Amino acid sequence: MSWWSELRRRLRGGPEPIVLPELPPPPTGEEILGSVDAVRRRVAGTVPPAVAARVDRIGRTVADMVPRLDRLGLGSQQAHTVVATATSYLPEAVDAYLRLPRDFADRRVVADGKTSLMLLVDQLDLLSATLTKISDAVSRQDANALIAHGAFLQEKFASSPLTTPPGGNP
Amino acid sequence: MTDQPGAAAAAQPLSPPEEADAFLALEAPAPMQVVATTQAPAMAPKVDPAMVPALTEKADGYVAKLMQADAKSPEFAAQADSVRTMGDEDIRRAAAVSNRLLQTPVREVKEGGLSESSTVGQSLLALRRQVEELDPSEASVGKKLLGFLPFGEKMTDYFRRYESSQKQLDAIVRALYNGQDELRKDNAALNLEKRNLWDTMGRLNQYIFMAERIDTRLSASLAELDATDPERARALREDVLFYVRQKHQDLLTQLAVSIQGYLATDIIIKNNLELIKGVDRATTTTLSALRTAVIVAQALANQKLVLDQITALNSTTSNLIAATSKMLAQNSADIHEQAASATVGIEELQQAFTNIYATLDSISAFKVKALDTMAQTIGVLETETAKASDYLDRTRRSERAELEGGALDVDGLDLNNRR
Repeated sequence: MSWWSELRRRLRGGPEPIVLPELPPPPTGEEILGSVDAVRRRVAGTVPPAVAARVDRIGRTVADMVPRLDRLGLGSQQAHTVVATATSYLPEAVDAYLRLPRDFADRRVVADGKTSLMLLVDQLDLLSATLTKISDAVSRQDANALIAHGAFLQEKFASSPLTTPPGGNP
Repeated sequence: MTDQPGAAAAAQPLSPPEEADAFLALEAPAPMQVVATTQAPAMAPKVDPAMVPALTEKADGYVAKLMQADAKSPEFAAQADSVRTMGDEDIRRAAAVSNRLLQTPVREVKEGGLSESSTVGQSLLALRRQVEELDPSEASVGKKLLGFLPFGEKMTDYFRRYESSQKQLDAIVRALYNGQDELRKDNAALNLEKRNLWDTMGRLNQYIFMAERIDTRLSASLAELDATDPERARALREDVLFYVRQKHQDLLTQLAVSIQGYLATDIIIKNNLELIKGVDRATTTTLSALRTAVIVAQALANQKLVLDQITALNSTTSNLIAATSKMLAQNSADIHEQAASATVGIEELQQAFTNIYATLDSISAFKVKALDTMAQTIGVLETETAKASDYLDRTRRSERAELEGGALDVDGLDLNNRR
């Protein structure tokens, strides 16, 4: 609210404006990548290779997606998924696993006949598959723009089949 | 987006946002009713029929041993103790879980999705303010845009507002998505608690079954004993039957409290689901209003809104629109006429804003109702937990049972009937 409208409100005796709640700013590209890197460092050398490889893969997809996030537009659920995977879903899954004693996590069945390690691998696979799907969708969208541009150029510059070459005989 | 990005498609502006269907009403679940202890066993998970013979055998075996033991012998004392400690561990576990669950409605009201201080509450508040600022019918626009001559400076200024509020809108929508995530995480955790509590309630019900069985068998035996050895019958009544019945009552009370906790959890889960739905609706109506604004600005003011982020959403289509108007300009076609015949106008934009308000209002109405039922639920829970505290004191006094395990534990019955 500007000082001018604030002054007018006071002169008119209008109601106190509601204080807008402070919303956290969106994480920057560096923050997103930093979050994934932090997870990578935490798992380095402490987890089975199956987990490290999956974390790496997710990290690569995120790094690939970050510069293209604006392609998804404002209020995109998919952009949210990419950001939240890097800053929340991935770290929380990995940290929950890391909190467990190694022996317990890798050997003890905890749910549906699966160990914590197997549950984590399932979760990482789901995240990875989701990210790949989103990445594909963005690429397809970009490809569509190219197709559309081609159609526009075609429309604008293609000559009519009835056009006769200049200087030629009809 | 159309499938044929060609000249034919280019002549078509974006289709207007779908009409608000028969409006989504968010429903607050009914407040919780008191669960009477007598109803509890019928509401809790049933005793597995496969377990019945084992449980019966255990109870009968216990009564048989008791009847054989000398009233003064240490064995008799041990048997009598078994009843006092029967199921204590499960009662304590159920109490811990249900106490935690009973706290959730209070926490929910204070800092859950329903509270103003939650992520969802804060972002919805911010959304309403932001929407009011952009509302084309708001007095703050200066003059109403409805019926206002198009192509004026005011119109251009009005649409410029979208560009300046882009960042804030983006932050709001992000915060709403984060809030939804929080609600979903809460629900996942609550569902897990519910499953644990369900298992514990099943075990409590098994103990209740045994307590009833021991009561029946012991009462029958005591009736016979009254004739032959009234002294021993009196001792058994005082030292065993009394505790069997007390334990039965304790188990029933804890089961009823557990059911309350279970039902309270259900209410919160349902509330969260409704809020998730409401937030979904709030984001989609907001985004569709923004998209409408982009189109209207383009059509009426020939103003290309630099809402990068919104236009990116539909980049192909909006590129086509831009391309079309460029071509029209080059061909010196009457762009004004084109714009006037556009199917999307200020009225549609107004309607899009009405949809957002309707959504925000329905969420507010839901919150008021949900908070009200939650308050009633908390009232019910408070009286119930007070009732349950007596017997919890009793179980705490016999904590050594935790270490020893009583003769009447149902543990392992389903596996190998080891005791």
